[in-house]
Amino acid sequence: MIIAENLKKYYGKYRGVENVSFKIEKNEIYGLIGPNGAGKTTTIRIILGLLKKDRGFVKVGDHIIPHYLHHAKHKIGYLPGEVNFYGNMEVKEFLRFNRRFYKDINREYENELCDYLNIERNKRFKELSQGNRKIVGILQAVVHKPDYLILDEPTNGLDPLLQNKLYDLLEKERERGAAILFSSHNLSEVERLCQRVGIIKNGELIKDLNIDDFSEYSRKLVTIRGLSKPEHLDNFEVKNKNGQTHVYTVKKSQIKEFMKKLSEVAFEDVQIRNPTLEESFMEFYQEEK
Amino acid sequence: MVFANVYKKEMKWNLVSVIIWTSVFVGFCFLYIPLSDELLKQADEMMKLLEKMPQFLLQMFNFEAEIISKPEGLFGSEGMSFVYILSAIYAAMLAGSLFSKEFENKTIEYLLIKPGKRLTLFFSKAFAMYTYISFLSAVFTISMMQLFAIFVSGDYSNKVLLGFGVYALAVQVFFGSIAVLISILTKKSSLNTAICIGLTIFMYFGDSLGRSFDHLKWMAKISIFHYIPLTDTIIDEKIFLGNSLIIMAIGGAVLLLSSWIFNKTDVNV
Repeated sequence: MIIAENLKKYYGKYRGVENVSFKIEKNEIYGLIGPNGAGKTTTIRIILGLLKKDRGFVKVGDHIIPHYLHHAKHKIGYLPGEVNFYGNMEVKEFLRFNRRFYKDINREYENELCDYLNIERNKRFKELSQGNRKIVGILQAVVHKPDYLILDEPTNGLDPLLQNKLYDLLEKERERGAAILFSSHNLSEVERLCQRVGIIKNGELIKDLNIDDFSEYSRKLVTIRGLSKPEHLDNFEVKNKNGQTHVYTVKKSQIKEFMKKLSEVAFEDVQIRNPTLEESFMEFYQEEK
Repeated sequence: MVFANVYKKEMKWNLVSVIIWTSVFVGFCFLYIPLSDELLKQADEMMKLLEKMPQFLLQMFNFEAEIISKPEGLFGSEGMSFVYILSAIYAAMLAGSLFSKEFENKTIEYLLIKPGKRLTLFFSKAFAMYTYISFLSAVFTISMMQLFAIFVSGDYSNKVLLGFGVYALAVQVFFGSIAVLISILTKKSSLNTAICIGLTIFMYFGDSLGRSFDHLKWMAKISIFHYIPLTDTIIDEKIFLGNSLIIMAIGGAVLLLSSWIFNKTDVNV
């Protein structure tokens, strides 16, 4: 279990995080979601003992952090937000270097992961794309089968194919029994992967939800042009109206009903899209006010 | 396991650099030592020239008759100035490569979450630094002695040459440790090298000025070079071993302070 209680960290007079508390059980993926600068990385770095907290309590397994961090380290896997390894080192050499930190890395599993993630072992780091660096980062985070996996925006820079591979890998890690902390600013991936979600804003954890409650906040934006009878859709929230164009905010759970109603009236064109990150967060933030 | 892993990695990744620097040191000796013998053959002419020069200038640059009439004196008075400056630059660059570069490249985050204590990581790197510093000083001392044996025809003291080697080691340990501290504080290798070179020049010329002008004596007192005087070593054929060990011990203390800071500070790259 990973426990964070009342974390507080200030950088001089600037707030990093305050009142951040959550627990992550075994077999659970916890999504920490918030826009850039919300405090996700600061929270992660406090848990990893990279930053000293001003107040609060962190425990990883049986080990209180930072005092007993060194006892927990071999059970932790971490992927930093920005993956930077040694530019001149070949990937295979890096894997050897990484392997020597642990007592019992299974070479067969390491090879399986390399093949699964299509890792080019003979290239130097500086020759790899950002996405390929990230997958090597993912490999070093999971190769020792950690009990606690902490990933800071792992899908940034990954193409959709690799994103899906990562989702599958994380699901396998969860099934194996790992407690996983996953920071992101992508709502749909959090919805897809996590069992629980913490929403962080300006350094404060404003919501800690299970995934069903979180999905309630999930919206689609439906833009309709040339709608003949807008009153037919009065039960749904109009986000804005501009001449013949209506934009509705529809809860994901109501989308079927909305489409059924829409099919009963005439319209020229319809477009359904996910809200932008800012639009989604506004939803949470407005409720907070 | 962690100590050996990081130590091995540092030894491997800094090997090219130490080979280049060792070549620079050996190459410098190779150029300078045969020249010393030639200069010595014309010592009388040189003495006549020196008599016309201002006393303070001679004192500043260690031009004393007793010194430049000895083969090891010529090398010790001028050649060692370069050796000191090169030693400090190498030590600063090595410390920068071992510590500040990890912050600059953000690889420190990776190292710190891997098994092992922060202090283990710190000392594995520091140990790699001291290994290469010792190696460089040893090669410098051996090559200097060998080149003297080959190229110098007059009498000279091997003990004094050994002293030069010990001093070069003390200077490298001292400035290497200072560079580690600066690396930990600034996390920038360029700043680290610049500060170390500045400090070396300030200490070296501070010592020279302090010897020449009474009102600048304080500059000599705060310089490590004051405590490993080349002139006295050459004239008296005496190695200031105790002072060298104290300088290295000060370096060790600075390293301990750096380790304490490294262990306590936030890593926010």
